[in-house]
Amino acid sequence: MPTDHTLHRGPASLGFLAAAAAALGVGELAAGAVESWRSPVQAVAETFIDRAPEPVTKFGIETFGTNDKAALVIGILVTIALVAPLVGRFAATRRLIAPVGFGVFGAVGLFASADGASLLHGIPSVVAALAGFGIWQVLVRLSAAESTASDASVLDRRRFLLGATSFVAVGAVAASAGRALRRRFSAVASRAAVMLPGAKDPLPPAPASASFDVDGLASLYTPNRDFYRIDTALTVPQVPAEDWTLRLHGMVDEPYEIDFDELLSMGLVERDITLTCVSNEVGGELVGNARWLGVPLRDVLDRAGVADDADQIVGRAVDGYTCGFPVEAAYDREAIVAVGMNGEPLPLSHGFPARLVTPGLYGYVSATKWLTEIELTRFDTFEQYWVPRGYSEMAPIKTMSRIDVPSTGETLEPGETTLAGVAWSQPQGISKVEVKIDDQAFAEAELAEALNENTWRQWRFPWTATEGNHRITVRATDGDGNVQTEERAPIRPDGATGWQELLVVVRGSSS
Amino acid sequence: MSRNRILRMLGMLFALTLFVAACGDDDDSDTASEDTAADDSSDTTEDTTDETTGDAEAPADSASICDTEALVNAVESGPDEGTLDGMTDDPVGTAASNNPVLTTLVTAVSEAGLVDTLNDAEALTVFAPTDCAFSNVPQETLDAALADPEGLLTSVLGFHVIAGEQLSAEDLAGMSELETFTGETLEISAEGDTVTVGGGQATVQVPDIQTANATVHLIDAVMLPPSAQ
Repeated sequence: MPTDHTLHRGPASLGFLAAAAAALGVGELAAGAVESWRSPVQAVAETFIDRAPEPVTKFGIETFGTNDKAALVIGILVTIALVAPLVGRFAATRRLIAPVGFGVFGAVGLFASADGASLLHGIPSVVAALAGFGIWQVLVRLSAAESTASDASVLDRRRFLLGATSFVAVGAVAASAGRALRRRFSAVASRAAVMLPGAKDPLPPAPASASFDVDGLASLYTPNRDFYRIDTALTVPQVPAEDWTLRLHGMVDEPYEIDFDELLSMGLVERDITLTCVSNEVGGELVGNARWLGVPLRDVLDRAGVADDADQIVGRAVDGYTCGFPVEAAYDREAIVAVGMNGEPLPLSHGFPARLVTPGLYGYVSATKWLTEIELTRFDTFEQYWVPRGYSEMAPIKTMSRIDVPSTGETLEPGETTLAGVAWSQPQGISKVEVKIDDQAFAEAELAEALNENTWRQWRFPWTATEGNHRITVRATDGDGNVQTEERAPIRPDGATGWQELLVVVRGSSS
Repeated sequence: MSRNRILRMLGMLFALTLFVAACGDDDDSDTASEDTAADDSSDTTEDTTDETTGDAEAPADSASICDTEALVNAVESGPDEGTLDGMTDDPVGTAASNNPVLTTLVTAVSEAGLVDTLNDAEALTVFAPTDCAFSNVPQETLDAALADPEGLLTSVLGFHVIAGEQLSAEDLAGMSELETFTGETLEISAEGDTVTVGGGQATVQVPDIQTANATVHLIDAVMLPPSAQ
């Protein structure tokens, strides 16, 4: 027979389930407080994936595909939903069962969250377990009246049910609040959910003649995962698109602030642009080409109206980084506020949800990632981030050519071979690339078709390699007929120059 | 567990302090340090270019830095890229030009047109003879090498470079020979902590200097490859 402070089995099952559900909600909410704190359900799911024997995970992936993690989370919730009422039945009659039940619940979450790292990661699990036990106690007390009342009053039962459902509801609200809070730690979900509209006037696919098929040659479009990343962010800023705004201010007629959807509604264009880092050494890899999707910068500026005496556009990132470049660059070339890169939303490390891309200017003055403000100002009143750090205020990209094939340190066999590489000179374009072998005269290389003047161009050059050490030198000529300078300049303050020279060792396999 | 956490936090705090200190340097003395920084780097380059046209002798003071302790001190007190606001770590060719005890090597590398080759390689191990090491090379040998930058000088320098991997002194201690950049065989032997390379021609004095793309070991002598012996 139920004694004081205990429940009938039916309500006990229900009450325990409600307490467990509310506990999970509290756990989610707590996980929203600190980035390293982990949601009990998520932690158990991830630990399960890490620890489960391979056939089990394989089954999961085969059965649920990419939804395997979601399926696992649902599985955990269903398990709790089945176990909790059962525990509740026994908890109704034995005092120790409830604390032990929530203790086990908390401990499982705690150890899954810690997973060999810090127990502190499991704080939400402990908080959840304590909350669950507390809620259970409250429900037991709520029902005390019910069980002591001689004739089971409908009113009291209602009060118990109301209490239980309220806790479940509070738990649900807590859970969604926790999930919302955690979004500030990661923009992954936001990026996955972003649907970018297409460009008004999409670019045709690149013609086959724009690429040479040479092993080791940089591909015409650099895949996002291989695209160079140079920035000042120690950790990648997490900026959910739904929380993002772009503010236009400074020397403008009408400052404004728009959200991500409004930006997209301004009309998107596609642009092929080669991005170049000032820190690229002669022959270096800090350059990449992408098809960008974005809003023309001039549209963004015109909406505010640029004051006549403003001469600098400052792009400010969420972390305070600033770039700065001449106002003309927004009007004399195809600068954009980019939201897409090579057919997908900007990767988080490349500035999700929006960044600047300006042809012909090194990235540090013109390509702010995680863009959140555009300020119109003057060069004589504002210094962008890298200027007091020894780099130039004005940073047009210098004409450069690079040897990709053979790679540095690769030994060639004597015989027919193909040298290949890329050359760039945005926004003039490349009109010629020449190759010099040892002390011979420069000879013209074959150029792949140019996508436009703002992208790099591939080149190739047939060569009969003879045994020995050879020096290969490359130089480019820009679209205006200017030959790339031979004079060596260091990276600082405004970009390296010089013709790349490569030592190539040719050796027969027999020697 | 919680002790680990505390250690980790202390570690992070330490790292953060270093970071802040490194950045703080620049913020405190903004223009001053920037000016020096800019001057330093351009000076080095100019000096290098000047020297390539003249003779390649290192300044007397850096050639006299010969023992290990003095080398370490000189490297540590030299123009340190870490104090500059670099966007990136320097690759080995550029990093060497900031090293006060490698001035002759840097001149020779630039004379041989090997700067890009060193900078653009993905991974290298470089045995870098110090200015002291170069000062022991007979003048006529040095002149002969500099007079033939694409031949003798390239084979000598190429003999000091291993392509494809960044080997630490510890890695080297477990090896007996390596193929050099120019395809010759470099013998390696280790006794205790001492690594000797080039069939006893040189000893590693300061091991494991890291650059963006290479691990550099300062050695006490310029090695001659079998092809030049």
